[in-house]
Amino acid sequence: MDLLTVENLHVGFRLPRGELDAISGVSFSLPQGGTLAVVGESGSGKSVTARAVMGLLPASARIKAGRVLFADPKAGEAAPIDLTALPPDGRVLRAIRGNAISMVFQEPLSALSPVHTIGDQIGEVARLHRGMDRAAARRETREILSLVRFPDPDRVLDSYPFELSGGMRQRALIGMALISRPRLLIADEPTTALDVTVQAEILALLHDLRRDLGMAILIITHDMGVVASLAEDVVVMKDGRCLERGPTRAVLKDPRHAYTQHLLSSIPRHPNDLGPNDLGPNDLGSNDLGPNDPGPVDPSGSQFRAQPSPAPLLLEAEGLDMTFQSRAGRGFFRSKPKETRALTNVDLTLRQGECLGIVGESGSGKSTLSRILMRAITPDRGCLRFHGGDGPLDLLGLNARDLRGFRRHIQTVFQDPVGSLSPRRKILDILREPLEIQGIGTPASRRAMALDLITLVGLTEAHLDRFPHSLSGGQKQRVGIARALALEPEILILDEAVSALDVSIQARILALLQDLRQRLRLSYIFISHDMGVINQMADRIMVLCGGYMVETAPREALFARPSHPYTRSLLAAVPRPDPDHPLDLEGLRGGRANIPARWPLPFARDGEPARTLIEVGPDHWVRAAPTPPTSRPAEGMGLG
Amino acid sequence: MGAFLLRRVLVMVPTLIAASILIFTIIQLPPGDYLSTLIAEMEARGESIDPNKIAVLREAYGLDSSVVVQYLHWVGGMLVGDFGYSFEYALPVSRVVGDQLWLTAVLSLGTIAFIWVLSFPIALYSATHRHTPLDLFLTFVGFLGLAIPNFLLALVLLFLANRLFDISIGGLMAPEYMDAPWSPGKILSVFEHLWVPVVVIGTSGTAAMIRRLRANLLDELHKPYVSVARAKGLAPGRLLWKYPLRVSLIPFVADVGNLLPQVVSGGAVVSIVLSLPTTGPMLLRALRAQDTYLAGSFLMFLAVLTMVGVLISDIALGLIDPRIRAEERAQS
Repeated sequence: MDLLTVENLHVGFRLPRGELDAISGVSFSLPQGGTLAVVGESGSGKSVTARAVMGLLPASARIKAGRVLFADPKAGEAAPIDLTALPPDGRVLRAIRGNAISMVFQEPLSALSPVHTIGDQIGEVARLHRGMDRAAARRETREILSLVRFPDPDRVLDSYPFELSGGMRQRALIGMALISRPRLLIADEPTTALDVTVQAEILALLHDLRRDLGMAILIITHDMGVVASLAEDVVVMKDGRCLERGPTRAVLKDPRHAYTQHLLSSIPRHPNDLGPNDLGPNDLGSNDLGPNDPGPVDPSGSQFRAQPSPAPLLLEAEGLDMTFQSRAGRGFFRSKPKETRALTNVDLTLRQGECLGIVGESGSGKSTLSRILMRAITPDRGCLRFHGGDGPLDLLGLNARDLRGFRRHIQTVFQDPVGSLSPRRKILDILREPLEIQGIGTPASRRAMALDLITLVGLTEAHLDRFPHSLSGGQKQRVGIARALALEPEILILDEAVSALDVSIQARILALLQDLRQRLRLSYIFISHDMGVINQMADRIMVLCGGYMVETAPREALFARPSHPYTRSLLAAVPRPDPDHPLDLEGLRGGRANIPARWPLPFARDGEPARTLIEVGPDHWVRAAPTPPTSRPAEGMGLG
Repeated sequence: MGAFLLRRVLVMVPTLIAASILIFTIIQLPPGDYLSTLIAEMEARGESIDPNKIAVLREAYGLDSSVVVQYLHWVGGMLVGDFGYSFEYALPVSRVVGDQLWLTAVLSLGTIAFIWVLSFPIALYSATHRHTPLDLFLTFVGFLGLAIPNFLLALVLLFLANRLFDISIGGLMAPEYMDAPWSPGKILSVFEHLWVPVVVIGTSGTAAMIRRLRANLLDELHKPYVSVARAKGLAPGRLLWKYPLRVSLIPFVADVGNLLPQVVSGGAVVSIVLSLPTTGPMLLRALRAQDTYLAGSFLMFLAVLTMVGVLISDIALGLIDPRIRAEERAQS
């Protein structure tokens, strides 16, 4: 008898215009201690399925048919319970919820009550299901917190959610789900909102806990890489139906359904699938490369063979520093403002026709950099020059009027296609607005220009008279691109422009961007946290960490020979949709190299990043101190 | 917490000074002063007044000195507990206000209690049983309460009580106790009369509170942490009590500061209609008669009340919401 069996499940939502079928006939089963991934894009019904199992459907939903059978091994030989037949908030189901079956939700930022301590919220489960008193629950909570690898459980017990980072909160939620030692853990997109290195850690944690506690995991995800790394079996869902299911290896290697094939082909290729898959001992670490070393380095100064006639410079930044001050305290009793360094001494060059990729995790300073480049904020120090037709132009010295005129040269496409379009204006007005501001064309000719733009991004004239809310996510992002192109800019800043989209739509937008770049001879600054997307788009890549540029190199060089420990840990953390290359979940336990304190020599000294960049290959720079030839690092730079 | 309190109390000082200047300026804005208003009134009635007497009075009241001197005199007096002299009542302000202040306080607190006791359960029910017949009915009644002006409700109640039960519900006590010293009978009489103004003044407040609390709760009920708590297996009642209700109180507690002065001053019109011996009508009359010190001291009282209310709500907020406590720590 399987632990969980879902049989022909149908769920409908009551809407004002009638009933909508969210799930139409989904079946799967999960054995004791197994891992099953339910994978699909938004609207596929995967989360509704998970909630139906828990009896946590919203009030407007109704289970129309089907059964969810749960066979609790603790109950012995008793017949399995049909969870759908139980009253949703009744005593029997409540005794199962959070006890035999528990759930980890998607949003670590809002899934915890903001006004209760972590210890209270986790311990509550132990008191509820294991009949513990306050003190015992607290001891148990401390134990579970160290199980989910909080370095300092005692401090976390009395912390509030806002005092923890997103990854920490997700761990606390996992701890909350595990404190009752459940038979089944349902994890609904448990890592979607997290940085990739944090995601790898959480996945490793789930992997270990499953082994140690012998529980089964039902994981809901949109990420085939997560599936390949964690799940034994997979169910592919679309529009509330189950299209394909089977062992993960079989489905990923040899997808039978056209949709699964399409989904897999839409995923940007993982950087390491690109060439020799070599993350082995690195040149810098083994110390046979470096300015003071012979070898391939030409000591005469012009270190590497010159680039074949590089394209002319277009945008150039030097020594950008940015500090934010949090203004705590108001009025008469202002306390000293706290300073946060967002960027330290960042250089950047963009050549004509190039796509420069900028990667980094949250807090790396990539958003600050993009806002400086689009001249939304002014850096504390540094300079920013634009090389147009009329010689170099100092962008930081422009007055307000000249700046407004200059803005047509650099335009931005933002991440959130919904929030960056005014909901009250028609697409036509949205596209005409930049033209009006810059005084381009006449009212009559602007409509024609808007029509050109909308066809350029693959939409039709009919879309001009619609409002943003009637467009899909992909269509909205196309409008965002069309608006950015309205002023015929030379440079487009794409700030996480495809991050909010489903992979199949993301693939189409990326293809559109490639096409536009060729046809309009654009240069891109492509900011993303997604290594796959960067790999597909960028010619050259800059890696940011904690406000420092830690490594920059042409794409092939960066992925083939990542030199900085942070770059390496970043690359190692990206899960691949390939069962032959699952994440090294065991190897990830060493922690991640996301703060300078964890970088070895010569990359950092006493927690301070090295001040110099050294060139380790053609146009491949790494933040490291020049290594004296005598001091050899004790061992090669491993993964993090 | 101690440092926070001290800082907050210190901040109140400059605020109070600013408020006193503003109040005094506004009272002095209309042309003339108390005596010229008095003369105009007497002349309108065809009486005449001896110019010498006017001059004597003007000097006695300090009305001949400059506005700045008058202001300093008033503020200086308040610091030592002397709130000035009411021209109209020919008594010190503190004696004029006296009893009425107490009655106002009793009425205000009664009204606040009425609003809370009534609105909480209704809002809870409404939010958790959204779009059920009873919720729709309560919502409808709530909107009626919001829409009907206080004084109209007072008039209707007066009329009905008179017609149906043949009793007068005006005033805050039976007529025989009006000028009598305080006694158990008088206190009882106050409580017998109290409910009418409480209902009248509290109705719109209750309706507004229900709307707000219901909206806050509905926002919270759809937050992911509620789903998480359900997934823990918590019973619905305990869940509601522990999580969304507490969070939904935050914006409400932040508003407590405004409640105090609003209830004290908002009752003026109703008090006139119901002829209640509270401070509202007195303030109105003092302002119209340019009875400078009575009106000014009164408004200062309201200003202090507002600040105390805000302080109380800040302290309560800190107790409910750890994020605000953290901010306070960061500031001190």
